[in-house]
Amino acid sequence: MPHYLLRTVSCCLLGGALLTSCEESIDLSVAGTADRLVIQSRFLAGEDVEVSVFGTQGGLQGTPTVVTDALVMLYEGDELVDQLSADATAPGTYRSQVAIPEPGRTYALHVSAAGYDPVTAQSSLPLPVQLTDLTLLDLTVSGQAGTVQYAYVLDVDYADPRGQVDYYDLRIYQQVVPYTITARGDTIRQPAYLKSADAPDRPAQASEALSVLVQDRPEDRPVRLHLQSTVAEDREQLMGLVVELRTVSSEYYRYQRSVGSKLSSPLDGLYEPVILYDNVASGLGIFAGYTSELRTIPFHPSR
Amino acid sequence: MRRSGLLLVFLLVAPLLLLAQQTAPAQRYALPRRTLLLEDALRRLTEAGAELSYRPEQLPALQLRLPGGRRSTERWLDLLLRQTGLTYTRGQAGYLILPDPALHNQTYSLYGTVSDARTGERLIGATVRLIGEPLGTHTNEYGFYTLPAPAGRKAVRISYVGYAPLELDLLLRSDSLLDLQIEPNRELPQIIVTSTQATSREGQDYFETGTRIGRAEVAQLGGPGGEDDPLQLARLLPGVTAGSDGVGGLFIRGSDAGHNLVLLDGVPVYSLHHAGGLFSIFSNQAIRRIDLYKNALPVRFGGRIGGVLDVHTRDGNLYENEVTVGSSLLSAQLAAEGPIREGESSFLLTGRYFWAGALLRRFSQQYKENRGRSGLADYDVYDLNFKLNQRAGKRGRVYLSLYSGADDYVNATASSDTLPTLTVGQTEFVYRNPWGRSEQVRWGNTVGALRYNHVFNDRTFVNFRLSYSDLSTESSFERYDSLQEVRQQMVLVDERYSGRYQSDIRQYGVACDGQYTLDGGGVYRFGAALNLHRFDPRLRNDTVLLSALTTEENAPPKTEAQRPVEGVAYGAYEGRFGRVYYRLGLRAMLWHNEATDFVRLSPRLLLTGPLSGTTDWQFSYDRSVQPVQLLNSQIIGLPSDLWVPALGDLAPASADQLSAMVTHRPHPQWKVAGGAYVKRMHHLLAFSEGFRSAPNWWENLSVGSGRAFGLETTLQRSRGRLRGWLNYTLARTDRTFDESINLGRRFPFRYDRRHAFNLLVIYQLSERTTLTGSWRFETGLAYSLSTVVAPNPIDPEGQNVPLTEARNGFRLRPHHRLDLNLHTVLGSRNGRLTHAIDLGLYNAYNRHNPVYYDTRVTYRVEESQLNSRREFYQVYVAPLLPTLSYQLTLGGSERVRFGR
Repeated sequence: MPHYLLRTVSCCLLGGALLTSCEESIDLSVAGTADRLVIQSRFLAGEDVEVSVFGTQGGLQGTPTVVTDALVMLYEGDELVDQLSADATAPGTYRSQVAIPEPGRTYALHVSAAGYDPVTAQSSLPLPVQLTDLTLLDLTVSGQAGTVQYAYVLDVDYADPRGQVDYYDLRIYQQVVPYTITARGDTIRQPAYLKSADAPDRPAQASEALSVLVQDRPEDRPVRLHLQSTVAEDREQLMGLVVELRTVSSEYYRYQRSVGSKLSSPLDGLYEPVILYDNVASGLGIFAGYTSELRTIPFHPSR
Repeated sequence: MRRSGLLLVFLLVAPLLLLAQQTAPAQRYALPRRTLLLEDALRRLTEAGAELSYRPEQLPALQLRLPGGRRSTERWLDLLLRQTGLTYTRGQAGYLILPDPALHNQTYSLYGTVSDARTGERLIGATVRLIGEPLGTHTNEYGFYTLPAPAGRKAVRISYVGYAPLELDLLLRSDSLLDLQIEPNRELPQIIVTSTQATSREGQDYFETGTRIGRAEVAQLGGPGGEDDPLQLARLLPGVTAGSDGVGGLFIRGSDAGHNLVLLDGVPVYSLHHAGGLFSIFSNQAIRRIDLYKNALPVRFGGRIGGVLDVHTRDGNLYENEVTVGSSLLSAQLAAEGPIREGESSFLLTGRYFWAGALLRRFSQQYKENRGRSGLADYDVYDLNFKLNQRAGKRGRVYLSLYSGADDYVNATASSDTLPTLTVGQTEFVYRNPWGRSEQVRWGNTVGALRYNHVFNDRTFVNFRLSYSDLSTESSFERYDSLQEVRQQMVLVDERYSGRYQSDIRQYGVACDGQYTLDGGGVYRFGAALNLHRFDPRLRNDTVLLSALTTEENAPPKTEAQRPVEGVAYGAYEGRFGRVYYRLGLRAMLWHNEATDFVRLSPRLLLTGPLSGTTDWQFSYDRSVQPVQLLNSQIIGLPSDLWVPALGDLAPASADQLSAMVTHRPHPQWKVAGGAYVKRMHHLLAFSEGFRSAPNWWENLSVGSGRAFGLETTLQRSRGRLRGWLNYTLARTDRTFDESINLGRRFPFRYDRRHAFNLLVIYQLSERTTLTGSWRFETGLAYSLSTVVAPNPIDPEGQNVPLTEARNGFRLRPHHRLDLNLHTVLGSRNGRLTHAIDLGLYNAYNRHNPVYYDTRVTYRVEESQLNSRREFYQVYVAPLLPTLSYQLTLGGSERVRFGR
C-alpha cells in the first residue's frame, strides 16, 4: 500500500512537473483592446491606388471582417488629392478615382469607419533605379525522374545612387512555356507562365517569385545569387529568367522583411513570434509601394 | 690634571671589581614545583630575596607550571618570561622587568587555516581577530587566513556561524603558522542564510560582498518532491528571480540566465539545471555552501556579465566514515564520505538517480490515451559528485573534484480528429485534423578540477588549478498542424516546423589564484588563467517534418568547430583609508578566436564602511565581459540552447553596473537593508525572429543592448525561534536589438518582474524540528502574445493570421506560491544513526502560475460549416503537491543542524 501510494504521488508530481499534463484552456480577454482597422494597399507608380479595409473582431479569438462603409482619403502633403471609392465587385476594396501616384512624392492615407478609430499612414514612392547588367554564370544541368535542374549563378547590377540609403526588392522568376505532344507527334505550346527559382538547397516550387531584399548595392560588386530552376522535362520548357528590380520605400522594405520571416515561423507559444511591421497609426496594416524595372534573360541551356 | 688622576684610579680598580664579580657565585632561589600565575611566581621570587622590579598591570594572567628547584634570578626570569612579551635588565636596584622593546617594534603574521574540528572541513569566511585590538581578518574561499599583528602576547578569537568561538592566548614572537580547528555547537542560536557582510559587528568583513547559502538552511526549506535545492533559497533573495516555478533558469538583476557565472569548485559550469530549471544540478549532499554575488564582484570572477554563483563542494570527513541513503518523491540519493588516512586525506561521493522516470513513461502514456492522443513522455536524470583531498606536506593540500550529470527527456503527442460535415445540399465532406508536437532533449555536464593549495609563507597563499568542463546537448522538435478533406483529398492547411540543435562545448583551463597580505592589513589578490575552448554548435530549422531533417543532406550542417583561446590576468588591492574600506581591481582578458582578437579590461571598485555603530554603507562599480553567450531557441531557457563564442563582428558582451546599499541594525537580531542598482549591457546576442534558414549560427543573430534598474529592500531577523526575512524589489529591465528583433524597438525583458515580494519564515518548533514557510509574489512574465487576428498579409484569400504587435508586450498573470516544509532530525542515543525527515506542501494553495500560453486551432462543425477557432492553453508547472523525503545517516559524529 505505501509503495502504491508513493508511486501514485510520484506520478502526479512528475506528470505536473514535466509539462505533460499541466495545461488548461483559458479565455483570454485583453483589457482595453478595442477593434481596429486593418488596411492593405496596392500603391504603385502610374497606377490607381487600391486599398482593402478590414476590421479586427473580438480581439484574440475573433476573425477580421470586411469593412464596406469606410471613408478612404488620399493626401499629397496637406492637400486632399482623392477620395477612394468602393469597388462594387470586391467588398471592402477602395480605388482612387483621379489620383495617380508619382515617384518621388509623399502620400498620406486617412481611413475612417463607424465603430473604429480613424487611422492614417504615410509613405512615398522612390524614384526608379535602372538595372545595368545581368550575367548568367556557372550553369550546370542535371536530371532526375522526369525533371531537369539548372543550377547557375546570376549577377545583378544596378545604378544604385551613392550617398543615400535605398532599398530594393529583387524578384527572380523563370519563364516557362508548357507544351504537350499529341498522339500524332505534334507539339502544342501554351502561353508562357512564371515559375519560381530558388536557392540550390531548397526545392524550387510553383509559387511566388524568389524575393531578395537588399539595402543599397554591395561595395564594388553586383548582387550575386546562386539559383536553381527546376522544370518538368516532358511538359515544360525553360525560356528565360525574368528579373524585376523593385525600388522600394523603407516601409515596404521593413514590412517585406518581417512578413517573410513570419510566414515561415511556427505558431507556437514556446517560440518568439515575428513582429510584423506596420505603418498605420492607430490601426494595423501597411501602406507602401515601389517602382520597378523588368528585364528578361533568354535561357537556352543544352544538356 | 685632576681628570687624569681620576682616570688612572678607575683603570686600576675596574679590573679588580670585574674579577670579583665574575668569581662571586650568583644567588640561587627556590620556587615550588607547582602551577602558579606569573605574578604569584614573581612575588614568591621577590619574597625569596630576588631584587625584582615590575609593574603588575603589565603582567599577563599566565598560568605557569614551575619545575621547582633552586635557580639564579636570571635563570628563573628566562623561564618565567619565556611565554610573555616581557624581558628584563639588571640595574642598580636589581632586575627590572619590562615589555620587550625589540618585540614591540616588530610586526609578525599569524597565518594558517581554520577548519571544522569534527570533519576537518575548511571553513570559508571564519573570523580571526585579536581581542582588545582593532585587528582581524577572515578566511578566504580556501579557508586560509593571514593576520599581521604587532609582536607580543596576544589573545585571539576565532568565530564562525554555528560554531563555538575559540579563544587562544599566544605569544607572537615570529611569523607563526597556526592551523585552527573549531567545534560546531548546536547550542548556538541558529543564523539563517545571510549577507556575508556581517551578521554582527564582531564578524564584520566589509570585503565579503556575496550572500552565503548554506546546506543546513537549504535542508530546512525543502523543495519540489522533497528534493532539497540550494537555488530554491537563492530565488528568495532580493534581485533574484526565475521563470515560473524555476522554469527558465535563474535571473539576477535583469541579466539573462546565460549571463550568470556558475562555478563548481572554481570551474565554470555551462548548464545549471535539471528539468529546465525545476531543480539545480547541485545536490545538497555535496555542497558545503554557495556564495551568490550580485554586485561588488571580486576580481577573480569574470567571463560573465550577470551574477555569480560560487559553489563550494564539501571535502569529506577527515576523521570518521559516514554514509547517507535517502529518497524523495523524485530521486534516490546516496552519499558516502570518510577518511582515507585519518586527518590527512578523505573522500566524498554523492549520487542521485531520478527513479521516477519509468513511472512517468507509463503514466503519461495512459494520460494521453485517455484524452484521445498518442505519445508518451519519458525522463531520465542522474548526477554524481566525487571529491578527494589529500594533505601535501605541512603547507599544502590537493583536491580532486568531479561532477557528472545527464538528462534525457522525450515528450511526444499526436492526434487526429475526424469531422464529417453534411452540407445543406446533402453533400458530405469529411475533414481530418492531424496535429502533433514532439521534443527530445539530451544534455550532459562533466566538470573536473584538480587543485593544489599552498601556503608559501606568512603572507602568501596560492591556489593552482587544472580544470575541465563540458556540456553536450542534442535536441530536436517538431510541430505540425494540418486540415485535410478526405473525400476530395484536398489539403486545406498544412503547417510544419521542425528543428535540430546540437552543441558540444569543452573548456580546458589552467589557473592560479593568490593572496598576499601587507603589514597594515592590506591584501593583494592576483591571478592568471589560460582557457582553451571548443565550441561546436549546429542548428537546422525548416518548414518540414522532423524526419526530413534526419536525412544526411538535411542534417544540421557541420561547420568547423570554433577553438578560441582565452588568457586572463587580474589583480586587486583591498585596503582601508580611515573609516572607508576600499577594493580596487582590474581584470584583463584576451580572447583569440580564428583571426580575431578581443582585448577587454574590467575595472572594479568597492567602497564601503561604517556610517555609525549600527549602520554601514556600500558603493560599487563593476565592469564585466562575457566572450561566450547563450542563445535561447525557445522562450523558456532549455539546455538545448546554444553557447556561442565571440567571433569576428560578434564582440564579447559587456556590462557596467553601479550599485549602492545601506544596512542598518537597530537590534542585534534585526537588519534592515536598502539598495539600488543601475546596469547597462552591451553587445548582447539573440536569435533573430522567425525562420532560421542560414546554415551557420552566426548568420541568424541579432545584436543588441539591455538596461536594468532596481531598488531592493530587506527586513531580516537572523536569530531566535522565529527567523526569516521579507524583501521587496522594484525593478525594470529591457532590451533593444537591431531591426530583426521587435523591429529595432525597445521591449521589456521576459523576466522583467516589476514588483517582487519574498517572505521566508523559519520557526524553530524544537531543537531538532523546524517549520519553514516561503511565499513569493512577482509581477507576471512579459510575453509575446498575439493580441489580434488580421487578414493574411500576403494572400488576402488565405487563412487569417494572428499578429503579435510587440515582443513581450503582454503580461502573464502574476506569479505567487506558498511552500511549507516540516523538517526534523531524529538521532539514536549514541549518535551513530540520524534520520532526517521532510514533509511538506509545494504550492500550498494550488496556484497555477503560467509558464506560457500555447495556442491551438481547433475545428468544429457548426450549422453545416467547418469553423476554426484559436484556443489558448495556459501551461503551468505543478499544482498543489505533497513533498516527502527521508534520509538515514550512519556513522559520523552527531549531525549538527539546529539551534535554539
